[in-house]
Amino acid sequence: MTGSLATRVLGAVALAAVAVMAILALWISPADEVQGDAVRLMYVHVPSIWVAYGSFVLTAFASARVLWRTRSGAGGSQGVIADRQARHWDRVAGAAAELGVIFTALTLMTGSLWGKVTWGAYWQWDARLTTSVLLFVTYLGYLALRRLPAESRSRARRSAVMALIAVVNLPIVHFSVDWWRTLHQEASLELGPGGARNYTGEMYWTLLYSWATFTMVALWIGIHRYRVLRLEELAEEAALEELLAARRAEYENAGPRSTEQESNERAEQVTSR
Amino acid sequence: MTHAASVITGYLLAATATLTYAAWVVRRGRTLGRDLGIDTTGSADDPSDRPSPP
Repeated sequence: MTGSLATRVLGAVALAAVAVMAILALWISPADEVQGDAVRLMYVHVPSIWVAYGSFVLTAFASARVLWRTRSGAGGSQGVIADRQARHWDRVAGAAAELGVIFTALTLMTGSLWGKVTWGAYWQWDARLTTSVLLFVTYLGYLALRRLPAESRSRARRSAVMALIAVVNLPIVHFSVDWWRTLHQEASLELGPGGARNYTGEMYWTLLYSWATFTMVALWIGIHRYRVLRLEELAEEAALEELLAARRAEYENAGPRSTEQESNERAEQVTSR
Repeated sequence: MTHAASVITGYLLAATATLTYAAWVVRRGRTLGRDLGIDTTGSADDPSDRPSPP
């Protein structure tokens, strides 16, 4: 129901890319001199956090757009367009944040397995690990905030503010290995001119290929999740319409009532709460 | 845990988590779409474009 020709093609390409990635990562890429086969976890661990970074940056960008589009109470057609765009960016933010949380969880799990075979422990309160788990928990909080019942505009605005606060942790996570003495190794790759590489040859290309594959998978799921969020909005609206229609029918069947009757009913409702 | 066991566990965890989430998203889309009787894959399909009920 949320699929289209484009997503079907993307899904098929992503699936094929995953199969090739498994062959490259598990067979073609060599074992590390020091870490042995454990280095193969890198092809899942590192792309996972890169995709999570990208997702959280997209969440922050979309949230800024939400705040921008809802900053003024413009009426008429301008207001309708602004509201439509705000809802679009709010869905983008929600879908991206969910993906970010999933991929951060994957990073933590695979990192934990990697840590056990290289450091001898599943977990260390190291700066990189601690800031990463904080990132995970913060965005879980963001997703919980999105689910709190509220009017859609105010829910979108408060979630957007939270997303812009949460993204501050992103550079802290990334640069934690440079700013503090950590057990975790330094960045695998530094992009840009003169960027350092800890990996070369087949390892380097397999890592880049894995990142491209993970990005395709995330994009495919993200597009579907965006469409599901729109369906959820429609379902909410349909439920509200149904409730209003039922209330109208109830009112029409009961016939006109006096102001006194209505105030008595309201008083009963208040006391029953 | 040996290196090979860690690698296999890591890859299986990643595959299971991603597939489970993807399946949940697709299934939820199907259920909601069926309940609402609509398809969301068109281009001009923003909810606010839909005519209001009479």
